[in-house]
Amino acid sequence: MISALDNHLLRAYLDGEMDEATAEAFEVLMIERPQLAELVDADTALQMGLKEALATPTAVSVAMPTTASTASASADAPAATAPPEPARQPHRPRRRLIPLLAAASLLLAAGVGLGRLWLPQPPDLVSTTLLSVDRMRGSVTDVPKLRLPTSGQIVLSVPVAARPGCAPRVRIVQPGATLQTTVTPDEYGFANLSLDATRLALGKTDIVVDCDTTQLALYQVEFVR
Amino acid sequence: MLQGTADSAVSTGEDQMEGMADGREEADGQAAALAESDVVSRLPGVRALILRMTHDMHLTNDLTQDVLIAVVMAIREGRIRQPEALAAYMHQSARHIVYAANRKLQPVTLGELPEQETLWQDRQKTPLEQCEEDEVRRLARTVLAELPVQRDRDLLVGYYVDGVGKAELMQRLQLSADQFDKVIFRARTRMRDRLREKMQEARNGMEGLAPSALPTSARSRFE
Repeated sequence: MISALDNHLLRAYLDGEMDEATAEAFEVLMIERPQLAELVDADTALQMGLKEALATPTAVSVAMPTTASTASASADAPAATAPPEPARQPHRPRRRLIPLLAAASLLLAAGVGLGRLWLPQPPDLVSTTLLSVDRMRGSVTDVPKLRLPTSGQIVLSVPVAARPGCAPRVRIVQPGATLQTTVTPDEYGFANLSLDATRLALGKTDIVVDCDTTQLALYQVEFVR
Repeated sequence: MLQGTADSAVSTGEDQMEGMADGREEADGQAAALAESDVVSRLPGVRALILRMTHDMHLTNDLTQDVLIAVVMAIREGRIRQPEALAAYMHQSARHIVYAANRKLQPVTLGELPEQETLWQDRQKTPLEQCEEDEVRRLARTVLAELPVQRDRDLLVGYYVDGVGKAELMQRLQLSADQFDKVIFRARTRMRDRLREKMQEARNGMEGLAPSALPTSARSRFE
């Protein structure tokens, strides 16, 4: 008879949630009580059986039915739905191969793991700093100060007046360097430019919006730390 | 010739555990307290432990046989004196023998035990022992297919095949711990029941056979 406490202990043991001393005590209990051993055997057999069964593509299609109806059908006649087993391989040669295959797998896994470390992996999310060139929020006589981070991506939000038949361009003019690009303003009349913070120098900067040869706007800002 | 591993011979022959006798002079009087059938009745647990450690059914069979030999000899030599200590002794013996097998230690002679083959063959086999590996695979697939919900099947594959941790699977499949445990418990119980059914089928199939016609598969790996 398996009690609720037995089940609790069994689950903790099989899930690896016991410390070593407790696990050993449970193993002694399992030796005293064959009913517990039978469930441990069932768990091990399930693990071994599924691992080996799902190692072949034909087994996957049966073992992982995609709909409940196919699952029910399999449950009703599992033996009939199971694909024929592959011919049994001699055990001893296979056992001799296992260490070689395991070693090869480990080397492969280590190689793949190291390769993944060496290759630059794009992160899922990148933190950016938003800098807004918005003259409406300050005095027109003051040069707004924008706090430039030392590194990383920034988004510079620039007001761009729409003009029919014109593809506006934004130029960031700094001593010794000018960055420019054609922009498409959003529905609120802003162009959002992404760039690396290190591309910008500290100090006063002119941000020019123009269309062909016509200057539409000039914003002066100061990048500070 | 009965053999074990060097490690098992040392561990089962020299280690002193609670319940074990210190001297050979006590052997005669205390060996009677333990019967060899007590050892045999505890073999299913030993076997489950060894299979858990090795995941190799054939090696498990061999090593369980080694434990039987080592423990029976310990009883005869009076190194175990209390029945309460037997399970712990068998547990330690099993662990040492598995560790020795992992280190591929050369076997050494433990001693003669002429009736060992009888002890081994006459024992009641566990349901899992009745199954060949391909049968275990088939039963496992059946248990998986019998789970009615795709999420439960995903859980089983994630847990047993892919080795994903419980916490991650719970999060991935949006399950509570209780739901997780129930699915695993149900699968485990069904696997046990399937193994029992298989054993019963095997027994039914053998009932019509004369004992002399029964196949005897048990043999020492050192033969």
